Amino acid sequence: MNHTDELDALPCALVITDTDGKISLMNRVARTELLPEQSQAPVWIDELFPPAAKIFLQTHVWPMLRKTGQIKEYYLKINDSQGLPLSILVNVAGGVFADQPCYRWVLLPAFQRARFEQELLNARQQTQRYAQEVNIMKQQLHNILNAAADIAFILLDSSGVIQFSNTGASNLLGYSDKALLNENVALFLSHGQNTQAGLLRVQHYLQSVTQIPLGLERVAEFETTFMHASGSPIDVMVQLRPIVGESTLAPKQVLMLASDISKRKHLERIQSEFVATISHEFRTPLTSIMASLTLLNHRFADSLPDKAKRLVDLSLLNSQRLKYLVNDLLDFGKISSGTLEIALQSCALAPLLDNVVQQYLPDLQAKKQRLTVISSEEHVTVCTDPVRFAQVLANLLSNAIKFSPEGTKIVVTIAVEFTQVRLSVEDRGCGVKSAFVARLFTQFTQENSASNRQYEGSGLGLAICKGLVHAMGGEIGYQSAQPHGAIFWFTCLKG
Amino acid sequence: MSVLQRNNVRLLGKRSDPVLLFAHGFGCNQAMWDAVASAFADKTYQILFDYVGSGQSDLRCYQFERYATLQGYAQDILDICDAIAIERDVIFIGHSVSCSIGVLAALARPQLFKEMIFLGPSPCFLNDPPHYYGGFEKSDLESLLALMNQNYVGWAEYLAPVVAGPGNDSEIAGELTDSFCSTDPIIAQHFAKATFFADNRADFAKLSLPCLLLQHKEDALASVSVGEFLHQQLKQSQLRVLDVAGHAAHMSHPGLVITALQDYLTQRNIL
Repeated sequence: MNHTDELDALPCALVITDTDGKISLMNRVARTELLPEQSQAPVWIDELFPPAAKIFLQTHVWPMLRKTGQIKEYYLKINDSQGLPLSILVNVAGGVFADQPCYRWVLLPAFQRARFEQELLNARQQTQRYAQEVNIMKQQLHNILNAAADIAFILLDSSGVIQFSNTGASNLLGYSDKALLNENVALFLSHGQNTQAGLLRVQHYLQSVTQIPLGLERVAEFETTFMHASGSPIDVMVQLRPIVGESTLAPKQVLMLASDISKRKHLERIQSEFVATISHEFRTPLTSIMASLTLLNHRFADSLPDKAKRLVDLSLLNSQRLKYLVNDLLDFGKISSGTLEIALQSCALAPLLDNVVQQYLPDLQAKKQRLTVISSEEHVTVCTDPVRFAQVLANLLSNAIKFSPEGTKIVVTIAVEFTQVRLSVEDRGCGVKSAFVARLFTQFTQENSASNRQYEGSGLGLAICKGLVHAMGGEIGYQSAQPHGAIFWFTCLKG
Repeated sequence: MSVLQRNNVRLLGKRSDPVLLFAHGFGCNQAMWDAVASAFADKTYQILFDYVGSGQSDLRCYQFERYATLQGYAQDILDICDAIAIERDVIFIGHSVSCSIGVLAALARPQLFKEMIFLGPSPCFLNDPPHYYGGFEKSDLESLLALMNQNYVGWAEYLAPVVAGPGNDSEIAGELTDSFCSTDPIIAQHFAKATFFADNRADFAKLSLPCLLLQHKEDALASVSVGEFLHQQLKQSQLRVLDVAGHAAHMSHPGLVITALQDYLTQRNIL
């Protein structure tokens, strides 16, 4: 067996060249796998390779080979005997052949590895593309959020720490986004009485949103006051929204959207001050009119002709209505001008409720209505201002009595929900038409003038209730009862 | 960061001697010129450097925008000459793509160069039938990028650590990336694109300096016919075909290159 036979017996392709790359020998595997049949034998090793590999040979393999004398595991493409590109791994080492210095080129098939490498490479490129896309999207999102320069976007974690804020937030609050980052939301919500209710509501929302199962969170929207870095208050409309994390296990975040409503509030305040002044001015003459009429009614009842007496009664009734209206106007003026004082304290709910119910027993009896109180828990305590709480509940209860037919049932339900207590007053009256629901809690609205005449009221009651409930950190709302009737509910913080 | 550090510039010899500026080709670095340059050590002033992104240059200075075309590399040459305050009479000796880069530098600063010596030049690697055949189709060059990807990124950088296991990776991973042809894989791709997709035929045609064209007899990258094309285009050129197979005679047959340079420089009354 001579040397050439030994090389032919090798299971891989071997090519021996001189130091310039001129082929001296190809073993059997190299000849059968790499050379087309009946073709002229190639002179140079480069000729075995397709164009791309030729360039790589010249720019990488040959310089490297000349510099270091060997090549290890270069990945190349070669043409097979059919002229198709074949992935191979090239190893080259210097040596001596026929007494001349030579290079020995060992060419190993690299199908599997080539495929494996290609897959890894693709995966890697895909990852890079994704990363790039994510970056671009992040930047776009950032730009969009910052372009909304008059809306503050503030991202809060479950404890109220600011995770992100946009340019709008900096503009509104007077802090840079860096200064806001990692600060607690209390930074601009804890300074004064005006901002206290806002802080309570935000804290309550944060607590409830982390406890409520995913997907059941609600959006909270309310007006409150922020404190600007300079110390001046800013009236804002705030919306709190839950942000769904990457997984159900990820801690929830809350997006706070806030916009400046100072201008509107300023106009409202001017209007309210005017209303407050006027209503105060009304009260003085009204008091003397009512005193005179009462006197007339009592002392001169016998001497008045029946027709005159009826006129006095009518005047008295309408003066009474005017008094309610003026009082409501005063309250409403205080609420909208922000001068209403609220003193929150922890108190038991049962006695608060009893007091109000007692007050309305005569009215219930007069209309033969039954009142039922249902509570999910005993000994519930709430954090509220007892006087204002009673005012709200009384208003809802009197509405229920007023708008329900005789002999029907009124149900007060107390439900404890996470961090708040919800009170609902349900009646069997005519309910509220859906078109009217949106305006239910705004001032000077009653569903129709007919009911206004039929049922006494200023049209301010629910607007006042809303103001009071919000000032105490709660929500107020309406839903229709089945099969008919109204449910008015409000929440207050748990004591 | 000075330009001299940035481009890993080596200055050899006496400043009063004729100035030779050696520019390396794609894939390697200034060490390619070592054998040739040392032959002229005692009678010339030599400037050797690595383009930013190649060899021992400072990769932090690599700007993808600047080096997207060969113009950026030509600026490297101008920067180096400015940094060592050389304004004229430079004899440019470039290999492969550096020939095109040298032309761009010479057109930008005509008074800077005195002679241009091109080893294995190709003004355009792409075929442009029927009048010009650079030797390659666009798809060939795209396959080259894929090959590079697999050799640089696929094996050397990405796979070797996986195969070798943690702790053993540096030796194998360094095989290609730390070696003579060392360069960052992404930068190498970028340089390859700038090199192989360039068409500088019009620039060569504008060159009015005396030139020596050294073409390899059997060169897969830049054939003799490409040399003949350039010889026609360049009015003041001489063409010399080296009896060499391959694309890097300065490495494989430095003696032939030295002789050719010596002959030319003597003929031009420089040495």
